[in-house]
This record gives sequence, structure tokens and C-alpha cells, in this order.
Amino acid sequence: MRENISIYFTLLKAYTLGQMSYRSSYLYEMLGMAILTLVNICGIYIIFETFESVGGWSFWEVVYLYGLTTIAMGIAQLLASGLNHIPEFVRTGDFDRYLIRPISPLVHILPYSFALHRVGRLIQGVIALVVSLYMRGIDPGGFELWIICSTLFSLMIVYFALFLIGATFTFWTIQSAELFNAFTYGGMEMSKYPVSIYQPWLRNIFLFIIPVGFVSYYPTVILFNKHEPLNSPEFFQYITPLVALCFLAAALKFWKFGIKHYQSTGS
Amino acid sequence: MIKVSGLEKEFKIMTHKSGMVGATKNLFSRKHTTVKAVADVNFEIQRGECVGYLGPNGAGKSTTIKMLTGILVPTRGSISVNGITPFENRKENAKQIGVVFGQRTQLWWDLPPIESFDLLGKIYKVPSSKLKKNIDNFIDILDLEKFLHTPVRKLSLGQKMRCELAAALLHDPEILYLDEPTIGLDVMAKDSIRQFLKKINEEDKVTILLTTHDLDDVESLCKRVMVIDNGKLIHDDSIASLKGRFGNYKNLELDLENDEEVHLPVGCELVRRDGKKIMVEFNTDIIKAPELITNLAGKHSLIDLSVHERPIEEVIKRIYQTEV
Amino acid sequence: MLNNLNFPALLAFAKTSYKKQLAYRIANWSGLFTNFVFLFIRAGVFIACYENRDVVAGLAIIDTLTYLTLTQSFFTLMPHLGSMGLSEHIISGQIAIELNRPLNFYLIYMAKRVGIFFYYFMFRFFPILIIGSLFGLLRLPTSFLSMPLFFLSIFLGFWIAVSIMFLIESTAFWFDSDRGLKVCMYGFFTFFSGLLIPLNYFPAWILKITKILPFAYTFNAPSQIYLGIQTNQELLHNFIGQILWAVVLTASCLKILSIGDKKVVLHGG
Repeated sequence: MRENISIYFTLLKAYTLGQMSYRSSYLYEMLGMAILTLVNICGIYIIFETFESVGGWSFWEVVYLYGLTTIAMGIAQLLASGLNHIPEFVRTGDFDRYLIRPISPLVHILPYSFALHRVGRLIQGVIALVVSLYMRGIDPGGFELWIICSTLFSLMIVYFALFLIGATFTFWTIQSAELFNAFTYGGMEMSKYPVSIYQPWLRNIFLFIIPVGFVSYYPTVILFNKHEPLNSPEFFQYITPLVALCFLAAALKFWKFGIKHYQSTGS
Repeated sequence: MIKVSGLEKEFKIMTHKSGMVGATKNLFSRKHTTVKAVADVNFEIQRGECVGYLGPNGAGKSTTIKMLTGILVPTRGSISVNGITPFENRKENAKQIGVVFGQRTQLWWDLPPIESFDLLGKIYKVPSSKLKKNIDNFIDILDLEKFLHTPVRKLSLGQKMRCELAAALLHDPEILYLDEPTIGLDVMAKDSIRQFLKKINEEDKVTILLTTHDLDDVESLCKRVMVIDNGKLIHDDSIASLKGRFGNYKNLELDLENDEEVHLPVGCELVRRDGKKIMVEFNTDIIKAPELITNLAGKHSLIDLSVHERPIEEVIKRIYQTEV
Repeated sequence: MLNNLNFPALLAFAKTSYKKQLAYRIANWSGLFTNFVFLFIRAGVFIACYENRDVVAGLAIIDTLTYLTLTQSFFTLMPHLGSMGLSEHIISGQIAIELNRPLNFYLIYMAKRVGIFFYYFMFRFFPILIIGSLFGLLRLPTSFLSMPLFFLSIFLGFWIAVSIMFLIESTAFWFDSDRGLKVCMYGFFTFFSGLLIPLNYFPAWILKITKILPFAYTFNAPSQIYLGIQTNQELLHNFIGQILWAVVLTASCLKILSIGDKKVVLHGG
């Protein structure tokens, strides 16, 4: 495991150094991202101006969720950047190269086309998160900090696992992972609001099948001391990192299965 | 060292129907045909051998190599490389092999070769002193100094190939697989690569398995040649025996003084005629060179003539054309 | 140049463009699936908002859901963030050749976009509406008489959106990359066009801004016609706004193209 991490960073350094040509368009992209964030928060604001509360949650609580999901997704996207290229590599046969090395093909391919300039999105998420906590009057003591960090960690892991699953499907379809990524980005969209507000069928998908809702909602319930209308068992609130890691384990197993498929069908 | 027995690889190809009706049918029923890319291949390669692997396109060469390197899983049969089964222990096997694909690069496209070398050194966990020694050695033998710091995407094909070879050998693998390494290279470049391969094979005892369409590669490097056709191994022996297997043929080139019809004796075949220049292939078991020359010189006025060994291309063409 | 409106040629471009899109069948169905995933999630938020309410800002929940479905389907008619063919041509230098064709490049460009528009109109717009109504997300229009106006409004909205993208891509004549500007504009577009939140909910002071910008005249205008909730005066105002913006943007595109053309001639592309 430690080996894999060190290899990952070694490759990452090589890739980012190769991309060091800084373009002014990156600055505009960051600005564009900032505008998008601003616009999204305005949207949330308008909803709360019109409806006062949504599912019992207040404006700043929802902004917190927004910040949370933006940061987690941002990190997951940075981590999983190489996965987007799998369909192309499978088609051209370039994927073979990743199987000939004495390292895990996953770790080998992840740093490919790491997009450093996407960091801008992360920063906005952090701002949203911090401001919302301040406005909501949450004092980040040890306990609160632990919840926030473990939620971020779990959510990021779930998003990453979703990218991995989507990419693994492309071993069969060879085309882009767009179909499955609807769930990944849909999950992000959904987690901008507390999962409890959605109708049961939709809610259950994002609680128990694609656990984006699970890992973002329950810890936040504790953080803000919300009334929990779903009457879920209490231990749900404490097992979110475990849920995230189990989901990741399942995704990794599926990935290995995908590689085996590639090894029997070639390109 | 490399032991292959009963090796088979089948691919399921979906029979595609075209058109709207066909495409809809495809959604409901999947009809497959099974294609045997490799069928019952057996061979053994010992340490330090340099073996050529020939065959027409689609014969199963790349499939075999992919199974040997662990990329593909065989349908049947076993492979053992120094006691390791490649597709089961991919990472272990990777440490003892080097691979060069002629058509695809193993290097990092945007980085200079030296950086690729460093990266590979870390990936293969080569001790830094050994790595430096190897890199310096390859820079010297392969003459890489001039473009060591130029991004790979800016290199010529010949320069790139030399870097690929260095990269494949940085971790001192015992075995080197080469898939069309000289494709697209000019004569000088091909020659320098062949020299290099000869050196590492003879001096360092690196086992080499080389697939190629360039028969000069094979003739200059390999004492042993395997020929695969339609998934089956149809020849596994020395080059000389390959030539001899399909008869002992030689070529006779003639320059006639007059553009006239030529009657060839038994055992001869006209290969090519370009006005007054003629190429004749003859079977030395039936008629010997001196006899043939005397025969033709008696009937025609000759300006010039020369006798060659039948080129290996012809041999291979014959093999490809006639299934065994 | 406008005297040069070779309609048969333009029609041919549109047809080819449409046929090319037909090949992307699988991508289309994947996209359709994605549309609905997002639609259900967005709808979910509003359904929760309306839990104890009947009508808010003039909209009942079914009106809001209809608006969401409509804007989602209009969105598929819009060009994506990827290149539409202008900035590519400029950066590669191909534009020099394109500008020398006997038919104005803008017209050819729009003809191609219309072909693509027609494809998505048939294979995304309509399916979304039909499937949406099956799921109870879309109600019937208030008045069938307004339907011709509705479709015309959609086309105008498409025209405006594409022209805006064209203008942004044309900045490639002077700048390295248009991508940053596109991303900036994308945020404003989704907000002010009603794609994010139905414009009916906007506070009055924001509405003042939206009425000046072209974005509201892309998706909001036809959605309001369909819903038939606003007064006839407001609907007429929207429609006239669409026509005005379509004309202004078309003129701007033609102008900027001729300026860019001169630059290409002077500097050699």
C-alpha cells in the first residue's frame, strides 16, 4: 500500500512537471468556476428566499452540503483523472503498457493527465464550507472537526469509487463512461440537499445502492443536531467511513474483474 | 526457460448484423463465432537464445507474445517463464522481462528520455547505482547523448527506438520481447539496432524473442526461427533448415543481349521478366547451377548473369501460401 | 453577401449535419438517461419545497415540474461546452480557407447547427417530453393555440444561444483560447436562462437584470408560452425580446466575422 502511494506520487510529479506550461486560459477557467459556484449559491439563496426552509434545513446548512460535495468531488476528480482515458487506451491497445509493469495498473494510470488547474473548484468549495460553518454558528472543536473531516474523506472515497466503477464498465462498452457517470454526477447534484427530502425510491438509491447520500447526510445530521425524520437506526451516523471503504472495496473488486475481462478478450 | 505447451487462445467474435433490423436483433440474441488465434503451440526457449518469430499478419504472433508477457490469458495450455506463469503472476513476471512494441511507445510522451529512464528505475526498483551504470552504458552504446533531454514526441523514429530499447533493459531483464522493432526505420538505424541486439544477446546472454516482417533482422540475429500460420506452429528450427525445407532453390539473374523468348529446362521457373532482364528460380536438386548456365548460354547470347541464394522472402511466401 | 442566400446549399449542409448525428445513437440514449437522472433529482428538491404549499410565485408544483422538464429538454438543443467548429478552425488556421467560400461562413455554420438542432429536437426534446409526462413531470400546455408560437420561440431561443457561443468562439481571432470565456459564460447562462431555477421565483431586482441580458430569451421565453401563466403582455414582451436579440446577435456575428476575416488576411491566419 505504501509502495503504491509512493509510485503514485512519483508518476504524478512527472506528469505535472510535463504540463507546467501555464496558460492564461486557466485563469479564466478558474474565474468561470468561481462564477458557477456563485451562481449555484445564488440559486440556493433564491429557493430559501421563496420557500424559507427545505425539509427542515436552513440556508447555511444547505450551503455547507454544497461546499462538502464540491470539495469531495473536486478531489475525487483530480485523483481519478487517468480513468477517463481508459476507453481510448483499450481501443488503441495502449492499455497493454499498464499490464507489463510490475506495479498495479490502477496506480499506474491514475496520474495520467492530472489537471492541476482544477484545484480552483476545490478552493471555492472550501470557502463555501468555511463560511457556512461560521454563519451557522458551528464552533469547530475536536468533535466537529472530526465529523467534517471524516465526512469529506468518506464522500471523496465514494465519488472516487463511482468513477472507478464507471471506468471499469468501459472495458466492456469501450465507449465513454457517460451512462454510469450519470449516477456519479447525479449523486453530486443530489447531495447538495439533505437526502431526506427526496421521495423514498430516489432516496433509497442514494442511501443504500450509491451511498453518496448515506455518507453525506448522517454525519451532517449530528453536526447540525437536526431532527432526523427517517427514523434510521442510530448507528448509521457512526459508520460512514466504514460504508465508504466497503463501497471502495467492492469497486476495486469490480475493477480487477474488468482487467480479467480485458485479459481474456484483448483489444 | 520459456516453456510453452498446448497453448491455445480462442476469441469470441460477435457476428454483427447491419442495418436497423439487424442492430435490433443484436440486442436480443448474441451470435458468436469462435476464432482460434493460437492452436496447440508448443516450444521451449533456453537461456541466451535469440529466436525469430515469423508469420503473416493475423497468424497469431502478437497473441502469442501477449500471452507470454501476461497481457492475455490463454484459453488452454500452460506457459512457464523461469517457473512463473505470466498471467497469474503478472507483476513477478514483469520484473524479469523487457518489452519493446514497434508501433507503441513505452516511454512518457511529453518527457525527455532521461526522465522516463528515471521513472522506470523507480517503477522497477532498480538500485540507483545500478540504474546510473545502465543508463550511462546505454547512452554510450546506443549513442543517446544528443537527444537525451528532448521530449520523446520530438524524436525521430530511429532515436525513439533506441530509447525504447534502453528503457526496456534498464532493470536487467533476462528476457527481451521485441514486436517489430525495426519497422519504419532506415537502413542505418536498423543496422545499429541489430548490432546492439547482437551484443546484448552474445555478451549479456539476454534471451531474445523477436517478431518481425523484416527477414534481414532474422537472418542477421537469429539462429532459430519459429513460423506460425493460422495459429499453428509450422516450423521451429534453424534458418538453414527453413530454406531447405521447401526445396533447395537458387535464383539466377540474366541480362540477355536480344529480347527473345526463353525456354527454360525442367526444374526452372520464371520469376520475373523486365524486357531483357530475367529472374529465374531453379531447384538445385533437379538441375545444378553450372548445368543451367551452360544450357541457357548455349541457346542465348548473355551479357551478364549472377546466381543468388533464394531470398528468405520467397521461402516465407511459399510457407504462407501453402498450408502444411 | 446576404444577397447570396443559397438556400438549397444551406439545406444540404443542414441535412448532412443531421445525418452525421444519426451515427451517435448510443451516446444519445446515454445522454437521455443522464437527462432523466438530473431531472428526477431536481424535481425532488421542488417536490420537497412544495410539501405544505399549493401555489408559490404563481406556480403550482406541476407547473414547476413542467418548467424543469421543458428547460431540461431545451438544454439538449443547446451547443455544448465543447468546440462547435469556429475556434477550432481559427486556431488551426483552417478559417482562412473557410472564409473564402462563396457562401458566408456564418450561414454555413448556422445551417450545420440547424441540422444538429433538428436531430436533438426529434431524438431528445420529444422523448424527454413524452417520457416526462408519463412520469407525471409534465402537464399539457395551457393552450394548444399557442403551440406554433411555442415552437417558433424554441427555434429563436436556439438561434440566440448558438449566436452567443459563436461570438465567444470568435474571440479566438484575438486570444489564445476561448475555453475560459466559455466556462465563465456557462455559469451566467444557466442562471439567467432559468435552467437552474425557474425565473418565476426570482426576486424583482434580479429579474430586472435578466430582462436586459439575452439569456432569458433562450429557454425561459418558450417555457412561459407553454405554461401560459404569465399575462399576454408579458408573453409578447418575451417574444419581441427574442426577435430583437436574435437580430442583434446575428448582426454581431456577421460583423465580428468580417473583422476577423480582415485580421486573417492581414496576418495570414
